[in-house]
Amino acid sequence: MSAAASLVPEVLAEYGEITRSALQAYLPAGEPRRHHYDLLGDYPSRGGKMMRPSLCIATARSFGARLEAAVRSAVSIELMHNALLIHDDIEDESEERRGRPALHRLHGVPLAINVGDTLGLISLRPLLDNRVDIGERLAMRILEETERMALESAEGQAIELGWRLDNCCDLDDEDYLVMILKKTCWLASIHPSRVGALIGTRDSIDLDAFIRFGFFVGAAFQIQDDVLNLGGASEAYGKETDGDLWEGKRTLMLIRALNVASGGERQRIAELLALPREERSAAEIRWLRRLLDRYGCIEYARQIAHGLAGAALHEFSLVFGGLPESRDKRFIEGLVTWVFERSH
Amino acid sequence: MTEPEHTDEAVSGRSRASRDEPERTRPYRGWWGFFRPWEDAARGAAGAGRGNGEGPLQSVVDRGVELGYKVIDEQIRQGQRAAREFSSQTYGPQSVNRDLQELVFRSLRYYVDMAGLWMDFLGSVPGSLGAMGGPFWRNAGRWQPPPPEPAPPAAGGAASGGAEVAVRLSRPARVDLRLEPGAGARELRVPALMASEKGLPPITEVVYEAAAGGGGPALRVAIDDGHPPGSYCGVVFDAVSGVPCGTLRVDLHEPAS
Repeated sequence: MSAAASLVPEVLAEYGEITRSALQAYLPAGEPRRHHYDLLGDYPSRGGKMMRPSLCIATARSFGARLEAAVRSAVSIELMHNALLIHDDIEDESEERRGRPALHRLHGVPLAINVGDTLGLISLRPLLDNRVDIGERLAMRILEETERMALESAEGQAIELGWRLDNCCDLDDEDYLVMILKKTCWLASIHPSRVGALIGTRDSIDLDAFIRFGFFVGAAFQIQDDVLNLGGASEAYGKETDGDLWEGKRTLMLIRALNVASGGERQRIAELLALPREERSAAEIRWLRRLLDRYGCIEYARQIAHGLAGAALHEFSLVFGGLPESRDKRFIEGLVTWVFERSH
Repeated sequence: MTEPEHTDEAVSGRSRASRDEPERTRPYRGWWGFFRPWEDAARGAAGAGRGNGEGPLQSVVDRGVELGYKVIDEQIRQGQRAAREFSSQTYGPQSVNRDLQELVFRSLRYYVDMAGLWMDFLGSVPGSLGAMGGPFWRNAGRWQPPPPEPAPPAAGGAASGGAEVAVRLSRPARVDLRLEPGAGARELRVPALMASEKGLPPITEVVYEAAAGGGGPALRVAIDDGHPPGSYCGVVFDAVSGVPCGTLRVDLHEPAS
């Protein structure tokens, strides 16, 4: 493994540990434990890649900030991520998360919603505490950024849920990119890098460039995630194989299939997607999976992801190119290629 | 515009020099041309012209990138429009007064932030608050008593107190404690040490012991004999303010049999 390739997992582990440790301090204890507080730490304790908090910390540090100045924001990002995961799993009817049954499968939907709400609320506390570390003005700017990220994410989720509710089958690649820009990229990469840059530069840099960089990294990440969902072994990937097909998710592969399939095939896909999840048969899912292979939809998506990663590297050079060389800067650049090297 | 008709026989009898028909069917206006040689731009535009990626794989890549820029540039334009709408308020005497007050208030806040920045700068100057690159001192290898804390700057940094913090373990391990200057004089709190390896349980019992009986303060880390080996790390907080002030890492080996 090259030095650059080993650096990413190394930094993810290091910043991940620090974030998880600091996150513990924000998880309240007390009653009611069995039906609430004991469940708060479930998803955060299941591991996870910790890409979001690590990107926030690394961006802040690459601009010269101290690690401690970014830790609380990283904790907030991780808490919000876990809160949204709980709600997403319910809305998507997902069965597994990080190799274990999803929270609502373990404890039921009502308790899981409540835990998700609480984690989302708790994610604001580190941002309020930020006032101590980085001053009130910067803390307020990060709160504003967080508000925008939350709105963008909710809009993205609404777009995707609407597609499924209305059984939309006339989508194209641009629709997909707009959806993941909002649903995935804002929280996965745009927000962490913008917050890191805010802290590192003390709000003295134009943040638009970070939208571009974060979008291209996040989009490549999401498409690769969707590819892994179809191909990856469940144990390594942490979610059920072909889960996206079972859930009727409009991935780039599925949209491609809808655009290149024959009229009869398109009709069959539409009928399959119109069914509730529990009424979709394994045989039909297998047929759909084979169709994606036959039309080269997975390779198509992979190629799009590679192109987006190339654009991410270009945007990286524009945003970070002028900064002094550092481990954090190398880590951020390495993230772009790590997206394709990961197996989960 | 029409070509003038040639009537001269000497001219009309020769075969006229002409250009090959260009491969492009429309102008190259994609972003690709900014970063690639002309030929690649042609390829990208040709791929884009074939609809939903039906050409070679390279054109799929080009098209994805072109679409990506289209989507993200639109998002940025929307954000800029929203920002303009928020900032275009009606300006009457009252609002001018309000803006002036806001300006004064913001200037004050910038001053406070700049003071913080100045302190950060002092912290990075060798010999003032710590080594260049950050205020943490490093203590690689088996845990050793921390070096004497440097004197605080004349500009009024927090008094360090010079206290050393020991780490007491119930099992042999390699320890790396990093504290920012002055942290040794405060009461500390470490919520948990998390394992870098997935699935390992955290070390949750880290207790701060204040100086007593002539000894210095210490962090006591209780580790069960059965706790799995691995690398565990946590953030050290100021127990009163809740501000992070360092990190503690414990590399736990197999217990000696």
